[in-house]
Amino acid sequence: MDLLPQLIVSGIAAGCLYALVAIGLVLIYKATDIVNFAQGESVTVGAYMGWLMVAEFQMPYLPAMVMVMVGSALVGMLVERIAYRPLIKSPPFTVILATLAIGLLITNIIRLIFQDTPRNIPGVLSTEPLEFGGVLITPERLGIMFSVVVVVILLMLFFRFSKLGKAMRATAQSQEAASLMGISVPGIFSKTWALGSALGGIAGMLIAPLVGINTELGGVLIPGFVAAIVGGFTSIPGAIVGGLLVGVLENLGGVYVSSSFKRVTSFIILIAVLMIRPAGLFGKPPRKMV
Amino acid sequence: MNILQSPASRLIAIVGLLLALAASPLVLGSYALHIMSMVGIAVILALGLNLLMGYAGQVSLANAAFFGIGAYIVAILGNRYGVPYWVALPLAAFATAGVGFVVGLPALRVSSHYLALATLAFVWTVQVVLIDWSSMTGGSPGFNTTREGLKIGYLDDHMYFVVILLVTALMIWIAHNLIASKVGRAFMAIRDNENAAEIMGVNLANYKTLAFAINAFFCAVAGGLHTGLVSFIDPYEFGLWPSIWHLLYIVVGGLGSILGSILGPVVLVALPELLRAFAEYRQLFFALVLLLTLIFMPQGIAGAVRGYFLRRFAAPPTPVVAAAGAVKKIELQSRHPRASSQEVLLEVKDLTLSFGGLKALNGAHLSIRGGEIQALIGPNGAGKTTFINSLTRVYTPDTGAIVFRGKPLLEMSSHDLAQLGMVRTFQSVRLFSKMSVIENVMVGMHSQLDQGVFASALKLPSARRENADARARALTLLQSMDLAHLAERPAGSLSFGQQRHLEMARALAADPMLLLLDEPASGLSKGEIAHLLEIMRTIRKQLGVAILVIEHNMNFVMDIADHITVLDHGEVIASGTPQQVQQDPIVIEAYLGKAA
Amino acid sequence: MLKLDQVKAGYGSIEVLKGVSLEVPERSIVTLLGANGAGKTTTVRTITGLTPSSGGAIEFDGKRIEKLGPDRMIGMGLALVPQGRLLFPELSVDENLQLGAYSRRDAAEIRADADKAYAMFPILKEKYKQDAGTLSGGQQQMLAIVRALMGRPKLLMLDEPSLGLAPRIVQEIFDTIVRIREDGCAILLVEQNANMALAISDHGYVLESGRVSISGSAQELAGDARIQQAYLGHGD
Repeated sequence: MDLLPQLIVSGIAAGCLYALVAIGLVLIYKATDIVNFAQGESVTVGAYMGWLMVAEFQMPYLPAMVMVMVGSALVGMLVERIAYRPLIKSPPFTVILATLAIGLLITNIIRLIFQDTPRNIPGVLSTEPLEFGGVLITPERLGIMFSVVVVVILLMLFFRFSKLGKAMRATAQSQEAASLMGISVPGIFSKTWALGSALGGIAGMLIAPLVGINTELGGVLIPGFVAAIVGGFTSIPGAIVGGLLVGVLENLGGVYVSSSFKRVTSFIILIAVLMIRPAGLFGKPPRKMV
Repeated sequence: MNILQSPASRLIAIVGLLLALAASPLVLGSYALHIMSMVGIAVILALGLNLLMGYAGQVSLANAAFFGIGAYIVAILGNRYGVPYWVALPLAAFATAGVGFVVGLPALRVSSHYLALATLAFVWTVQVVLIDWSSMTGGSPGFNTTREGLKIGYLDDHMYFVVILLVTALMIWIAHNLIASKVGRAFMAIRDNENAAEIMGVNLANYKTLAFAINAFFCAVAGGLHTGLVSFIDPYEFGLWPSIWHLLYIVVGGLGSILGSILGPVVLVALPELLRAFAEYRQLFFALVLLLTLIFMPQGIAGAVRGYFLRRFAAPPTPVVAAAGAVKKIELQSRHPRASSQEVLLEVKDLTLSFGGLKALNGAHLSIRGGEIQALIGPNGAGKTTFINSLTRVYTPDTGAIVFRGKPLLEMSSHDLAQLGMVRTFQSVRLFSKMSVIENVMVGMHSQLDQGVFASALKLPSARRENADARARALTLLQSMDLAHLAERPAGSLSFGQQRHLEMARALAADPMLLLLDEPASGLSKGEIAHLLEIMRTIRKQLGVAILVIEHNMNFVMDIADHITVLDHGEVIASGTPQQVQQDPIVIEAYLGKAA
Repeated sequence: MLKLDQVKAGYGSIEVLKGVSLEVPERSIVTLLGANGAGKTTTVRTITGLTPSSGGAIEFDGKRIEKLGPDRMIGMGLALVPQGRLLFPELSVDENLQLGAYSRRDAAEIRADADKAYAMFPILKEKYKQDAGTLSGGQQQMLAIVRALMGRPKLLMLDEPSLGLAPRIVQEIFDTIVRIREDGCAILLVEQNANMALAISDHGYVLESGRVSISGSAQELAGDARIQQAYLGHGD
């Protein structure tokens, strides 16, 4: 039973990253009603860009992070322009497939450019575990948790106090009213996709020193998506809680059930949520519209 | 084209085609043989996919999982347990159908995005299971399987191809039968307009899970055939990327089309063979093709072809000539006994419903007798739509009772109502726009048809008779509504006035005793409104159907209603004849406000 | 100030407005009446571009606006208080108010206008941190109006402001509308409640089936039996 706190703490680090992915998904969904199935790819792009900046261009960590954000934001805007805007009047089915397609496209372009050679970003923080009250944790993981906390705080400040942030929140609540205020709704869509993808990029850069860089990183979409659903797909706090829950449960499942179970945990959680309470922890149950 | 019209000549053509295909490898060689075998399997997969996604409109990324489950079950049963192939294949198909049914259960409660994710997670999980359960499946390295192992070693490549050909032909036949049956129409209705489908009697839960089960069945058959074709299967053929790859078959080929399910695989299976040299770029190329098709050619090749023919050979749209007053006799045999005008058909008492803090209905009530035409009117926001939605069980009121033909409606679901004899039309016409005019009417008959999925799939004589009968009745009904000449046109191509007519025909096809009309006159011209009035009078006089109509067009209401109930702020403020209501000061004040 | 000339509009294959012509002079209150389904809401939506027009001309302040999108309206001086208010329910009262001034850059003036708004409706000042979705119907209507005023419009359009409100509150709202006109803003009032609307208007139009069927000064129209017929049908 000594293991439990340890598992929970290490689950939180992964959970923080899932939370970032989830927040990006929720932001895009709330503004544009579309689930970005290419969100995982913004993580991949972030990781590869991070590698480019740090390993190839010898940039210090923080400016590299900024470049990563910009790069993944641009990718997000590209996806919005190509896979979303032309399909604005199409059924959800088509848009889902389009975002899936463009995700695959991105993955393959990256694979072509960088080939499949394994790469890594040297971590900035050490991997020597520190101990806090019987629980071991590396500064590296602490760094991840801290970074995510900083990002979330900045995000919440942005939405609370900046004009653009308020405009985004307003657009998510009523597109028509927003346009009557003089807000250009297509412009907001673009910026929201940029922001959501930038968050994915940050997650990619943070996760790279931990698991290495490869084109399979996009798979983080699944726990990220499940985290968003658990949170109810309505709010940033919901996405965070969802992410942490998925991260911790995954870790617990991996040890208490079986190691392969870890990979399946997201699926089990998803089914449970869909069957018991599709609105998630904080969402509102959808009312039938006739 | 005319020689292919008679069933006999069509049969000969099909048999001829099959024979030619069966013999073709002798001419084309063994490489072509292999490709054609793969195409056949892909066609079955595409058919299953199209039935679920193109016809029933449900998103699913799980197809490769079902494909894999089918393949592994056949491989394991044959190679390890000695089960003969001809037993293993159907067994695998039905078992996988069961799994498909379970996977379909989330479809009942969630939207397309969540469904896509749930099926995505499913296919991913199945792959993990296939890899990890290595004691059974051989795990990551894969599973060796030979035709000897499957107990069909006596079939050489050519003969096996013929088997595939025949099974493919069979599955095409089954898919075709399903689409032309009650099941197929229910699927398409769900795809085009779920809420309208429900009100016509389609049990959404049953049909959605059925669609998943059928999809799984087809994918598993393809999987079983696949096992016999190759010497080796591994979990990596059955993951997310292959699932998406299979979707390409129907997106490029054409959604909602059997021809598309054939064309897509033909184009997309042959192509990679030609692009062998560029294997590295395959995924990239096909992701690009998928994206471009979705944006520029969403209907796929078959859709583009169909569109082309429709444009070149379509008859010009007929102008709507509202022959005012000249409504023909409406041919309809009713199952219900005609209600007398003394009988209370619908009794609504004390309906209260709050949304959040807002009371939308506050003790609303009314009653309708057999053959009566009653109007429900009231200023904007009065609660009329909420009232109708409570009747049709979309909303459940907080208090109150609704009794229809002696039965308490609050214990029932929306899809039970058509059977009982209550049908509604919608303010914004809710037709099944991609289905033909006559198919729309036939969906109206859904609750009166008995054929099950097996009878439909195999076109058993009972199903065939029932369908032909329903079709004839639908055509007769269309004739009474002056729409028979448009029977095969897609409903979405009709003018607005014609669409309103069609919605009425569809509602009548459901054999109602009570018709709920939600703003039937909105958007109609003066002539069309006069025609509508005539139709309503004819319906009442000839068929004894009672009508509850919500309307804002007062002249219309005054003209047609026997009785009017006035709603304001969720309460009934007046109830009486048109003349009484028109002069009631409370009603005038509700509409115009207090006189200065 | 605002002029519509044979404007046509609809949704999909349904034509709702079949040729609407009306005028709102500067500093006047004009009311648009009619039964539900006549096209009143469609008219204001078409003016602002929320619904695209399919024919006819719309002129505001000397410029043609029928092809402009809704986000251009406030910049030109045209504000709409939509039917159902369309507030931002999860934003606070103050945040809603501030968004009304989104298109403006003069921070000091914006603050002054906000103070004016709170002076007009003190109850909003009490609740300024509360989420707009928690306000009562009347309070929401008040907020929607001042939010629109924050854009300093030259013409304010209101779509059925009395909907769902108690008569006492409706009177308060209508008194406010009169004050807004006194401050120099023209008003186009869409209402079902004909009597109350005519009581404060200069001029009125009645829409029936997508066309203007009656037009005249408010005095002429008040008590005109034809209005009752427009709502409750022509007697037999």
